[in-house]
Amino acid sequence: MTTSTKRLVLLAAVLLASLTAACSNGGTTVVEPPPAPPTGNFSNANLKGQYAFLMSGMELCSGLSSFFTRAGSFTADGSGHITGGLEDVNVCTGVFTLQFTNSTYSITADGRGTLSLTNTTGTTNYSIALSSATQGVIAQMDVNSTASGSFQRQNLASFSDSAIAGGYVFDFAGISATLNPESVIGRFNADGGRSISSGLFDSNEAGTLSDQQLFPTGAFYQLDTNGDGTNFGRGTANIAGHNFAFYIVDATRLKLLGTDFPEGFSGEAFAQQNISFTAASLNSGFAFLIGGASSTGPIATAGRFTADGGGNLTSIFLDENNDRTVTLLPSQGGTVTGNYTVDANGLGGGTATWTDTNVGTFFFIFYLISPTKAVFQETDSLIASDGTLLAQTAGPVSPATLAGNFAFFWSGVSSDEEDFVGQLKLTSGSGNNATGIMDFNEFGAAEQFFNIQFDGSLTITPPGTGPNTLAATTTLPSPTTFNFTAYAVDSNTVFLVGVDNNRVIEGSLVRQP
Amino acid sequence: MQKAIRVRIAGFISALLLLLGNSVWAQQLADRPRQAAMRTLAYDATRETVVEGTVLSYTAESLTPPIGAHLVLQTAAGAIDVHLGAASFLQANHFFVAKGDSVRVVGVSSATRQGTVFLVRVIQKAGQSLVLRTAHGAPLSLAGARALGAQKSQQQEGAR
Repeated sequence: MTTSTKRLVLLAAVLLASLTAACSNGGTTVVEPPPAPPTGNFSNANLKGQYAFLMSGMELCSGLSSFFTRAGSFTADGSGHITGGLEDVNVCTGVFTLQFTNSTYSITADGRGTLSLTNTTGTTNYSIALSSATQGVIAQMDVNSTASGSFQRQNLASFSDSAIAGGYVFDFAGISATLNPESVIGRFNADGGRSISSGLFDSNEAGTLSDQQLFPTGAFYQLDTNGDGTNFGRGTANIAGHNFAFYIVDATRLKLLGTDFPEGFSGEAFAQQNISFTAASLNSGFAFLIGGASSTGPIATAGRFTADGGGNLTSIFLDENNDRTVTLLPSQGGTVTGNYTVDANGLGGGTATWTDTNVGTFFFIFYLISPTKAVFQETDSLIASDGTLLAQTAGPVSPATLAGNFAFFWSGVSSDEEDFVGQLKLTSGSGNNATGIMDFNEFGAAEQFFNIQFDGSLTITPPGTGPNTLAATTTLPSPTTFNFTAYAVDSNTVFLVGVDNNRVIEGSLVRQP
Repeated sequence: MQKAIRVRIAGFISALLLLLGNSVWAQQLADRPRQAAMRTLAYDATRETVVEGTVLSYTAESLTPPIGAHLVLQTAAGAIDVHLGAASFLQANHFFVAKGDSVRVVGVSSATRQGTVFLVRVIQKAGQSLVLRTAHGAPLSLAGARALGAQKSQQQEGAR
């Protein structure tokens, strides 16, 4: 993998500075001692029960970094032991279902922790950060694999075909059968009896759009009948013409892993509110965070707009990092105007379009989960990028309203994929108000870093619902400042997109109790 | 016989209802806006050209966008910046480029804020040819080993 000489030299200096270090499998692990015992109310007891997880990233395969994805379920006993679990992986050699045995975890007081999952092929290692006892973020920390995603506690009472009933909106993305980046969003009805109807989807394969399509024949869902369904909430489905394994979080949320190969998809499905959606359904501020690939490389975009309930968009802001080229809307001296439509069939699909007088026009489509939440896909110029659209607080947002502790993950690409997970503490001050600690995997450099501290500032521009800035500086592995534009969804959730010209990165902050 | 006819009629009616149902659904399919003009930094396959020249320099990890390996190619029309994508993809395919090599590249010239860069889909050197992008223009390095093809053995490294 590509490794910058500069980074190696600096890493060597770090190692010589007597920091705790260990090497394994040809990679390098750097562990910085925590500054002090972490504070907070988390412990091993907070991770108790069954959790469904989903993540995607890059693995080393035949000497190449290759896209892969994993989804599954693990059971934590509240005392540091993983007593069981199952996962599906779509890796370079195919699709496999693997059972966990003799695995462990550890949670520190700040909600950060580690998780090791052992199956017949070996042990995979993760850093996690809990935002509550019911959910957290996760990053794989192995030399040969990095990935990031999230996990949520499962509701075992939902482990049945009949629990999956009503409308669902989905969003999955990954690599298509023809090896292009592809994003697919849409919706369907599940009847509680393994049948799927009223399926609609929009596919974006490397910027080639399908337009809205009906599901091809063969759509279904079914919990496994071999015990994996009732034990782990696992099932199989055909959605929008693609085969998936799924894991039930609860009746409102499914985690999806594509089981067709060589394509590799992952995503989620969310219960859709049972209303007939119209343009009036969108009547507030919204923040969005999307990521994917353009024809030159990775792309990450965040922004916000206000929808007036009548098809008009105002107060439009956007930060796009397209393979290290950053575009901001409104452009300097430019103005942005936009509009949106909601499909006449009432099923929640729609379009959003805006034009900057200097930069040009941006097109998006969405499927509404509710009037406050949607899956969101960019449909521009050979870009396949997708993510989430969430209703924003009316504000104002200020350092005081954001003060507190947050679990976070960042994921992106510098020379290769990099995944970060940690905790950020914000104070109500206007400057130097951010400190944090994180673990991260620099996959391209085969380096994993643990307990790396950073500090910086979250600068809020009143009223705070527009673009704000977060700068986080760490001295390890080299003096590095991560500059983000931060869009606050509310006082509990903040979307981040990196605006540096040496990496493409995005992530989110989720408040801890 | 009558039963067979009834079955056939029932089948026909079912098929008709299915078609009508699909037709109703099809009428509900929403229109989507057509795409805007290409962003400046994009692989527009309709503008593919072939360029030949001599390598003046090769950088595995360029500081200028796009991310990945670049080379400076001396062509009859002058020196151009050529983007090859992930250096690891070249290496894994045993394709190496060095100063002085004569190469032929198929791709698209694209504008960036730093200047113009030639995005390569296929590179050829001394009878060796390597495809770096899909027909859509997406870098094959995104797919990694999935792009090596079934004829090449794939070796996953480490636990799954």
